[in-house]
Amino acid sequence: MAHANSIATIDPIQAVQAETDTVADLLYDPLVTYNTQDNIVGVLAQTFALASDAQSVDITLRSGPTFHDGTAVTANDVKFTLDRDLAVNAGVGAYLSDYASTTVMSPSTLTINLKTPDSFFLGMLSKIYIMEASLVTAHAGSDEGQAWLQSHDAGSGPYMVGAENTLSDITVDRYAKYWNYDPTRPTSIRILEVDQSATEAADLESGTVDMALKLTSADAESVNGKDGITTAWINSGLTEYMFMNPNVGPTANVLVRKALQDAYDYAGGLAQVWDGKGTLIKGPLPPTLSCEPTLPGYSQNLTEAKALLAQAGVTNLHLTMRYQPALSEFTQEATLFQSNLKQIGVTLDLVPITFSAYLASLSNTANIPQIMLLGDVPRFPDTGIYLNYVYNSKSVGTNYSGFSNPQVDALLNQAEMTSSASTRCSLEEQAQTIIYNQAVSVNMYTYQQPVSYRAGITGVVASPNANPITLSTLRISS
Amino acid sequence: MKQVLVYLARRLFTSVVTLLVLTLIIFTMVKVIPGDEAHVAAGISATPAQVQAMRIHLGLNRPWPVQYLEFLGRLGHGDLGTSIVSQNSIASGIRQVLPETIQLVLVAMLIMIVIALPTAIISALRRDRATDSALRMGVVLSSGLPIFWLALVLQYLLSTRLGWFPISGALGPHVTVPRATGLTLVDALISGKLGALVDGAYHLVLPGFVLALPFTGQLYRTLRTDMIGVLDQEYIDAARAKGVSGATLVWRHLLPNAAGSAITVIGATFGMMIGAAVLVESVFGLNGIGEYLTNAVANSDRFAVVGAVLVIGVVVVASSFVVDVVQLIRDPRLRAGQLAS
Repeated sequence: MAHANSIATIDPIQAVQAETDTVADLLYDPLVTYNTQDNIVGVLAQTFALASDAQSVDITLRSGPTFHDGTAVTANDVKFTLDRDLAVNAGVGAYLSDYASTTVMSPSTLTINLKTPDSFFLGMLSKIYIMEASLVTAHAGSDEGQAWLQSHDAGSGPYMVGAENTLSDITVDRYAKYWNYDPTRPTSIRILEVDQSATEAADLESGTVDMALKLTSADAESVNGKDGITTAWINSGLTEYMFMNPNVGPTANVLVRKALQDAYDYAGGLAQVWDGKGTLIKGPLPPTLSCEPTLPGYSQNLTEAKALLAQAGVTNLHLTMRYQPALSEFTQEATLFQSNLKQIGVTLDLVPITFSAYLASLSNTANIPQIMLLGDVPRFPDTGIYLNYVYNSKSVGTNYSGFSNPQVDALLNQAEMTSSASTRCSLEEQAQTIIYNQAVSVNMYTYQQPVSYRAGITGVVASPNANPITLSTLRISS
Repeated sequence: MKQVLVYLARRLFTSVVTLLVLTLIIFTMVKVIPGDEAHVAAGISATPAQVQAMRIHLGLNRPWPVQYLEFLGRLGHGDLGTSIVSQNSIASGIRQVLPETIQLVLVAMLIMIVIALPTAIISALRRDRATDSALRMGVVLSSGLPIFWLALVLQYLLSTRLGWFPISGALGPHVTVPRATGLTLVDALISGKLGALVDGAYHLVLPGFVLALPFTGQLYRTLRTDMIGVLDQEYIDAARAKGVSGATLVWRHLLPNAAGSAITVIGATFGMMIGAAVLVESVFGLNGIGEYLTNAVANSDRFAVVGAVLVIGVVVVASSFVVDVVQLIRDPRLRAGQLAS
């Protein structure tokens, strides 16, 4: 398999990075994961239950799973992993901010105790990959084993790291004693870093690789149908937004924000920039998530946009949008929006920004860009987690616009503390309606990502919590 | 002898100062560019408290001058720091990839010399004739081709369409070589895998050619001009009058006397090729220092960026130093001039 981005480490604590997650998902098992209906199901956990006060999780481990050296997976390994991830305090450690401790009752039963009620915690465990305590301890060094785990595995997943690996050329071999062994999985998968899309496409055509991720749309289309190659367009919920800073400047006025929403050519952008491979969205939520109230959606209406600006008493409006020019599609969309705004008398300056600089700006609402063009994918198929990250004022660092609304905060905080799924859903719907009316962002559309692969490979499907697919679902057809 | 040692010490001192200035420039640039290493290290979903804890852990809460001095202190022990993305030693990461780049550059330099030398000799011997004009035109054209474009076009034509060369990678899909030096060809030789040696060399031909071509022009022009200058000398006329054959004239009189500037150009090219290899490695999927630097920039791994740029700087300064020493040994006139100054 060829992929375009570098893998900096295969330490599962960095599974917040899609590239690391691609490999970690093969080498490690989490306690739970999401099925295709977005329900939480057990992996290493045979049973799991969130307490009614949402302050603890009881888990019974499945019997049978072993790490790659044959050692059985136990509750102590789970405790070690959670404590280690919290100690490192980076990557997926961010998902453990409410974690307090683990009580091990027996080798197969444990209780995870939380500091505060957190109904989102169970879902976030799907990205906490369990590692072998004794092995990691033996290589802990002074960095909790991070340097060693960069290129070694301590997991119980369906694959194990093979010999002669570098991070740009990793081969993983099928683990023969995997508890959920499936002979139709590929016997080994070689994951090659190939930076240029054109090179990836050429490698695919020539037979050097059997699957290519992160091709450009044009390259993915060009290889589709050649020599038994298929391109699947995967909808993983990757959605584009133009977040507006509602705290300072002209975009603090909700009428201005609504005018900007009305100005964008949604249908034109999707058709021209993404060749129609995506869907328009109706509210702040990516369409892959549930619990969305009935909302009117968005369409371009320049007359209404002008009327809203007049109502706001704004003339000669001059705005600045930051965007990441590394992706040509972003540049096209930014210039499209610039020309749309020109039609309603608004001047838009386009200024490039790196994602790192944008992340740094989020710590202070006054520094957050006036408008920021951004693609975002839900990390978990859970509406509550997503809304909480992006719209709760306490989520400094992931609240992309600096949006702060006491009603929304109260609803989302209440949802977080509620273990009943239906009650949570109702609270989240109410929060979305307020967010929709506050016009926090120009909610553009989701776009599909291409995955091109050779005949004989099956299981190329969107993953509920990985972007865009996981390799653990791949199978070889007879 | 004492004069030579003093000269070398002075030259070494200049190189060290150059590298120190380079570290200061890179470090300042990395600090001035907007962004937050602590947030990158803590991860995209990190809370402000986690980012702050990471900032303290990485020592980023201290003033810049202190951070710089600590960086220099570590550098003195060969420690380039730890990658904020992988948490692995940057020095070890670079050690892993640098041999691949050096191998590519050496192959490219070999190709450059193999092309430039005979064409320059032909041009000099047939000065201002049709052959010379045609060669000069070809060289001007090849020198003006952007490497990235050339790489993509040649890869498409020669690899994808015609299948003459591999598309990407250092070795074929099922070829492996146990790592000893990191130089694939040397490792293949050491392990006695002749098939892998041929396969590795085959994989390097096209990237090497692409990297060599834009630099070939400068070497060709330097050699041609110097050779024409030598051909105008009286001792060449004397040699011709004595009936010295063409081949002897070229190898015994022309080349040794025209090689001075060419050696300087070759030395300078080594450093420039290391920098240009970024683009070639990217297109041909080679995992060298260029690739390492590109990934570090993409991941906002600033310490790794500083480390990679510094290593490239060391290679450039070292190659320049070596060329100076070689020139000093090779050319008595130059030696006399340098030592006198």
